[in-house]
Amino acid sequence: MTATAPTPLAARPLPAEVVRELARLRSSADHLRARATAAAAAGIGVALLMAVSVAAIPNANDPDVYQLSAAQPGLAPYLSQSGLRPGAVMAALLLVLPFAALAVQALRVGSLALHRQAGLLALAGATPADLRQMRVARTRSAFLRGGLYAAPAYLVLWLLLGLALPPGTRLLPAPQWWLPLAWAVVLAVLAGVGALLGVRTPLTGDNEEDGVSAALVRLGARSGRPVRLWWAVASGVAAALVVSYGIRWGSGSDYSLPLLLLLLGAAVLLAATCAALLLARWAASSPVGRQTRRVRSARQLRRGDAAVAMLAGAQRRANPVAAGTVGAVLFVCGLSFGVEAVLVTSMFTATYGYGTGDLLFYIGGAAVAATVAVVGALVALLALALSLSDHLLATRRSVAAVAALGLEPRRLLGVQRRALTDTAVPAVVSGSLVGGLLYQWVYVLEHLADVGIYSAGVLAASVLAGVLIALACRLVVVLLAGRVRAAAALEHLRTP
Amino acid sequence: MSMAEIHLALLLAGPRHGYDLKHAHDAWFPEERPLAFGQVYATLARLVRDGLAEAVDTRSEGGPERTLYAVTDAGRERLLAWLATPAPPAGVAGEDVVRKTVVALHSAAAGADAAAVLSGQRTAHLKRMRELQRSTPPAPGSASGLAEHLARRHALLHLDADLRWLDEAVEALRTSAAHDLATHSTPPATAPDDSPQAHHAPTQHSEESTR
Amino acid sequence: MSTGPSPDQVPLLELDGVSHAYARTPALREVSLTVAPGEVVAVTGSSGSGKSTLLHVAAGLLRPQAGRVHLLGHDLAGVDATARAVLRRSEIGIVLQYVQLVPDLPVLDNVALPLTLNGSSLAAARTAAADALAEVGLTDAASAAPAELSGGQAQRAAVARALITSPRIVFADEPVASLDPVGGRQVLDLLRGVTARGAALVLITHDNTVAALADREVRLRQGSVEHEAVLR
Ligand SMILES: Nc1ncnc2c1ncn2[C@@H]1O[C@H](COP(=O)(O)OP(=O)(O)OP(=O)(O)O)[C@@H](O)[C@H]1O
Ligand SMILES: [Mg+2]
Repeated sequence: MTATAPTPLAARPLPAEVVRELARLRSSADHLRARATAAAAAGIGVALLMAVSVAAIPNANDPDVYQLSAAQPGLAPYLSQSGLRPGAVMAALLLVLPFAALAVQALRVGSLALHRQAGLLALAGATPADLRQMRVARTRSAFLRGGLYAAPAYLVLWLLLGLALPPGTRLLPAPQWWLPLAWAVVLAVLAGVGALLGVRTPLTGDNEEDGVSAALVRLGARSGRPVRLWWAVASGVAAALVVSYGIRWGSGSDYSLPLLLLLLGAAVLLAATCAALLLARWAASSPVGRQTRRVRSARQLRRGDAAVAMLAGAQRRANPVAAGTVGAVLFVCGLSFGVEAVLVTSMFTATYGYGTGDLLFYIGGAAVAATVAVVGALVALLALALSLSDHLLATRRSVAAVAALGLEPRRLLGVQRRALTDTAVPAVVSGSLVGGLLYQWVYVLEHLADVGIYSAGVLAASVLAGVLIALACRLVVVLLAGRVRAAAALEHLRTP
Repeated sequence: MSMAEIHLALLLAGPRHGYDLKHAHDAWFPEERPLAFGQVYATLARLVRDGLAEAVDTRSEGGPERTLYAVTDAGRERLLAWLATPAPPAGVAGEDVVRKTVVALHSAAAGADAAAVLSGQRTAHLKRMRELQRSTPPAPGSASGLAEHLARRHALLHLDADLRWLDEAVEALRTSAAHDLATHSTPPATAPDDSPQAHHAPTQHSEESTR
Repeated sequence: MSTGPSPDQVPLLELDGVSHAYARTPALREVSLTVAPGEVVAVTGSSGSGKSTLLHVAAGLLRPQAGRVHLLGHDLAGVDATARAVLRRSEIGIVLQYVQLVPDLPVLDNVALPLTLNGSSLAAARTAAADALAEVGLTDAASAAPAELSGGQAQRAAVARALITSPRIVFADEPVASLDPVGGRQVLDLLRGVTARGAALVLITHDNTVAALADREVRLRQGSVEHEAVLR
């Protein structure tokens, strides 16, 4: 072969105009993804602003650790006492967790379509860098939009949780002059996180050589990579935990409360990560027969319960990462629920030690914890709804095919309910049990209390949590019934 | 006309007399008009005259006298040369393609490669179809142009039908070759019915043999 | 049988002993193939014989497990994903067998995509795309979403997109399978038109009348070349 110089194949970065045009939100899935991501980012932003505001409450100039803050009168003791303040900061930071999980879930809305679109764009000549640029543009703008709501939301919350409450019980400090500065920093952080998440979004078509062909030809489940990512995160957190644990006991200091809280936060994160991993594995590996084995009677079979169970199992298997993400959020909610159960039990069984003021103090603490848990649960509910929406978007063709084969709409709703319940209930119940039993162990050791009664409290709370979340799953399916029916529309048999 | 070559191919199996030839021909081409005896003898006479066939024996087993004919080396060569030339892709006269293929299938003994014949035929057909599609469609309103165009389309679509038949023939040839292979790989000495191998025979094989 | 390009022409595409197997199925076995400038090569064969796989490998969408692919002077083994994407948007045209338009973009923007990705302005790319759509008779569908097109219309839009960059080689997988004879003929004439400026066309088809338009036929059977013939 005679050599002619082949044209050099250098890629130029896309013009901004083109990126903007291609990254524009078009489908309803795009809008849903952007809105949910923005909401999650707003939640993260508010939680960060709250943490910063609480942390910045000034102390009176006194060496006593439990000195009340004089600069912001009327605050609840958790905020005004400098010794308890790190706990409040921690609570605010803990709120970031469910919102971060929500963001991960939100970015997955329509992921199958995104994956396919990446393949199609690559076919038309988009380079991996081009695809990344578009994704980053989308994610970053959603995060920024959410961040813009953070400061106004903080002001509203301050009106509700600060100004509206009687002095001495206020849960948020008044906004300070530097709030806009903090807001700007939070915006920058969110933009960075958004860009990072855009780069990390698991889509093929960019890094694998055969990505284009694979994305065009086959669109099977891709569960391997995200699970590996999770394992990496889990090992990182475990390492951080060990290191900070070593520092804590190595220093032997009494002033290491923040470190202890950091340790606790890391432990929660680690537990959530492990829960996500295990739940994802469980969802991915559940054998086809397992769900149907419970269906035995002829009546159940006639009603189509076996089909519902089988389809629900297939749905969970097809999307193990979503099951893991949602499960992790619910697991964290379960954790705080279990801890509260121990606190509440202690309040009703305490025979010594508490004055009325102390009781109020503990009830207040339980209320704060409960608020955090409720926010977490609401976020989890949202995550559940998003995961269902995403699933319906991704599989509307097979949903329509099943509907065309004669599964009536009521049963289709049953499939969705079953899939959600199978994911959510084990996560919440196990979270509640783990959190409650661990905290009870610490508590009983410290207070030399009766183990039996606390265990009973934790068990009761876990059952209650399971029932509540099962009801919540029904609620989500009822709320999204329109979407399920729309997915079953036979016209989807035509769409690829 | 391909009658001469078909007679040569019919003689490949061994010396035959005219009566046998006629019946063998009718069995090869069941869809065609039966041969007349007169045509058989006229063709044989021409073959002998041209040195492509020869009379080897004359018998009269009680009945009328019959001459046995056999193919000569020259006749064999003539047959192979004919097979090597694809039939003219003639549009409506597709029978020639069929004749050539059938003869090729029967002439493996003389060294004919049916697969090569089919593939050569495919190329010839495609070439002709390419020519037929060369000219541009007629300008609207030109009656003669339209007639010509339609005639070409007719020829093209008939050639396409031939090609589809050729594809089928190739496929059939391959399955039968695979079948032959399977048959020959079983030891011929054992009776097929009660031999243990019969149970392990591929399903395709057993289906074929029951047909 | 003399096949292949005349010696003075540098081939645009050269496959040498290419083999590829999917998870279980061997799809290509030791396939060699050369395509010269200005040539139309028809790749035929029965369903599942590996035609689409051959196209994916030749166009750099799929890395073969064995063998070499030289495309427009590049040894594809040494060309990374970015450079291949650049190749796709500037020098080769691809029409796939099934869906290939980005569902969220209107037809006009879909057709303009190779140009916009290659750095031309949106306005210029759209003007060119409108012309390309007019060539395939789809002017009315410019602002439609791909889902609103019939199978044949979508295929014509894909052809318009494949030709918009004036590619040096075009790969088309069953480009007229979902078109009626007259519309199919139009699209084929457009595709074959690229040879006038020295570009080549690799045409995958199971339709003999379409294959008969080529200068050369390469027939696949169970992943290997069964037969290759010059039709010129
Ligand atoms: N993504 C894939 N994964 C697994 N096997 C595949 C894949 N794509 C193709 N195959 C297999 O490879 C073989 C060749 O497929 P290919 O699509 O290349 O055939 P084709 O000749 O284009 O067929 P058709 O005419 O039906 O389009 C087939 O046996 C097919 O089953
Ligand atoms: Mg194909």
